[in-house]
Amino acid sequence: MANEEEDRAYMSSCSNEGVEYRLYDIVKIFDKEFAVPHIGKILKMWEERSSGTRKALVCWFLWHKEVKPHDADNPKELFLAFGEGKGVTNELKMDSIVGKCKVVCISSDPRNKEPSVSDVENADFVYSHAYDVDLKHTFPVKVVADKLGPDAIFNTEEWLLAVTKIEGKTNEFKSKKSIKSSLLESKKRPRDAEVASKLQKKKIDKQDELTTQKKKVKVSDGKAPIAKENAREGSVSKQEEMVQSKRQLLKSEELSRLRKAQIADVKVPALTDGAVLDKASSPRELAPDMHDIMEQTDSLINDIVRQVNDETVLGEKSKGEDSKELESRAGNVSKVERTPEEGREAADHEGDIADGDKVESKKALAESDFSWQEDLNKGSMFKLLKKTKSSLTMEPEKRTASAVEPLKQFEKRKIFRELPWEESLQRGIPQGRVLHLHNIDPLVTSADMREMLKSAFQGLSDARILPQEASCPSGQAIAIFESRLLAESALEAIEKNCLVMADKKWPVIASRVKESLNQARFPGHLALEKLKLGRNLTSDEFKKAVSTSHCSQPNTIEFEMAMEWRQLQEITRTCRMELFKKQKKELNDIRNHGNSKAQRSKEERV
Amino acid sequence: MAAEGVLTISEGMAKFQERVSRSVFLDDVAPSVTLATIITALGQFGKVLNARMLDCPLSPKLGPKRALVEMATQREAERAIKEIQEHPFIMMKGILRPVIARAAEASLYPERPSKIRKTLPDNGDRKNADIGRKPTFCWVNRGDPDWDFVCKQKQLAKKHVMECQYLMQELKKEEEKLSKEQEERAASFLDKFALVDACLRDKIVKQLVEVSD
Repeated sequence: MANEEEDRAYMSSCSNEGVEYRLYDIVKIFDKEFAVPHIGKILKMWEERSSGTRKALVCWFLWHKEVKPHDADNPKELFLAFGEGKGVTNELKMDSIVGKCKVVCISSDPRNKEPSVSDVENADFVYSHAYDVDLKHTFPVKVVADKLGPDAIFNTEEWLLAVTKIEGKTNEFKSKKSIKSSLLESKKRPRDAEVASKLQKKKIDKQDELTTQKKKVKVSDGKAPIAKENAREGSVSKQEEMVQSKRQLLKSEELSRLRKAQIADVKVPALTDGAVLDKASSPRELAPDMHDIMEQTDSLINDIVRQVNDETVLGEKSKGEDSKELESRAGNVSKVERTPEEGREAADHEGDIADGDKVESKKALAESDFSWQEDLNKGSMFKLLKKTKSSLTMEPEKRTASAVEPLKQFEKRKIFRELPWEESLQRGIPQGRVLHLHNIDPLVTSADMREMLKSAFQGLSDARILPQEASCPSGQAIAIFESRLLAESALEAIEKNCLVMADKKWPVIASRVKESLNQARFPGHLALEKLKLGRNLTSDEFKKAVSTSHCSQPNTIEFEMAMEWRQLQEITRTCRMELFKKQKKELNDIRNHGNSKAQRSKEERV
Repeated sequence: MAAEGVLTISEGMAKFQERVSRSVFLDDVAPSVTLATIITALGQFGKVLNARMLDCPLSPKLGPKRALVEMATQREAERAIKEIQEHPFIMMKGILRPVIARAAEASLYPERPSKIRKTLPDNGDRKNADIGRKPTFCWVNRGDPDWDFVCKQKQLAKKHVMECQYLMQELKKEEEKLSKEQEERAASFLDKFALVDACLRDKIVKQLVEVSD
């Protein structure tokens, strides 16, 4: 689609989590349903200008056992997928790429830079053939090279060099993501002995962690590569936990464990943020530098969220779904990504990490469902998180899609940072915290409204009058409460009893604000692409001709159509005016009538 | 005799009113139009000091937007309004729906200065409805003498809300209808033009002329 293409800014190299990926690199892609990551080759990388997401077109490598289940000749061999069928390539977000993979091409084509023997031994996988998914047979990969270009398929010098620098093994799932899983400890999985021995910092067992908090901090030596290694090695068992845990679990665990993790993780330089690596190298006290911890926490959030992201994004890769679905799912998940961000923003006060941590984790243990409300009651974590908001680069900040899961847990915060109105509304609506009030006196302003509502209800976070024309007989307002419960109780109160403006006695009506459908079209937009066809206008002229705002001239088709719209607009306006007039009259009648009645009854009583 | 606060309030009000008189209210703005477009568009009529979108968060995201544009002088604002009202003003290519312009009104500014004074005037002057008492809410419970009256009002207000919504829905349907109709027409125009073009290109017309000669 033309729009999609225009929106994309293709890149030949892209850096993600501190690693620079170039075109045709072979990378590992995490998929929650598989114990090992998928291997793919980046064919294209781009950034979507409208949303800022960076994506890649990845061509998959197939495992030896997938292609040749009966042969046992070379288990290290991969096959490049090829063909028109599904599952050959996918468009993925850059975030789902967890790292480069040690794969070299051993094709004997002269265009291929032959890897040395040690290179081949060092590599995790090799490939020399491709597999056609339509015809279901293998063929030498040089055929693909003829099609896509030798650089796309064969080794280049840079790639061979890069391969030597890639750390870790691919076979056991030791990607960066796995480290996050260990942070996301699901409930009570015991740690592997292997893990415990190698990784001194991380423990799944909560009790241990509490007691060994201090130990962890001191023990770690803060050297980035070693930390990486350890973390990677130790995460096999975490893998299963992570895979099986649901998204809610992840998120709920995430924040409750983040506190623990943050201390534990002080030495693990997040593996994502290069800057953090430097910080991690200095030895720490038990009460570590707040700022560093926050950075760590930050990157942890990044990772965890990304992991959550990946789970859903890649869930269907094996089924070869097309990229659209992936994207939509990614869209869903990105909404979820907002939740930790909210946690961050909610943060405010500085808490004592060590103590608060223990109490919190114990509480979290007791929690049977996955809500993290208790954990967050202290709020200290969020303060930390909040501080690092500026260093975050998460996309969801820019998104307007609302968070999918209601965050009732942030209710009692009195320490929310001041969010701009629109944002807080966007958050509040799906959480059910927003009420729409009608029948407000049009003379009342937002400031008045706020005061009035604050005195009437507790837990009011913000209130605003909606802009109305002067002809409207009554005004409307929006009130945002701090929690869904408070909003609901206010609604009930307004329904059962009457909240009225003093002395005028105008009752206020309230209703919940539901998420509006985003699919409403804007009628009146004529797709003009077809007009580009044929005509004498070049595209430049075309652009110039119609893109400036102008008053339509009577000799154009545009004029005719615009006049029709005009007509409709006038009809609309008249209708509204009539309705308002009628309503005003009705209101006045009943008010006067009511007033006179009240007067009379007062007099009678007196 | 008025308290000090009142003076500043009226001054504030005066300033605000002045601003309002210089502002243009734009309605039915296409969702793809940006503030920059609006500023350039109204820049044709004079100097634009300020422009902002009136975001009604409850309306659908792709629905028509509204904006308030503040011009340098009242004359410019009036001129803009007049021009836009008399000729269909198209803001962007392909958006056939012209923009509606009206003089801005105070009620369109949600953050306008409050007309309510904080302290009662000494003479208890209640005639001036605008500068009235500080509005407060109070609760009317069952059993209060005003209960019935208030309940009736509530009913009425709810009815009004429903009416408005219904009207909006119906109008929206009309808009959709018109839009579809126009698209079809535009398509047929295109076909016509394409046909004529093809004829010219294929020199059919030339040949016809030759033949008839």
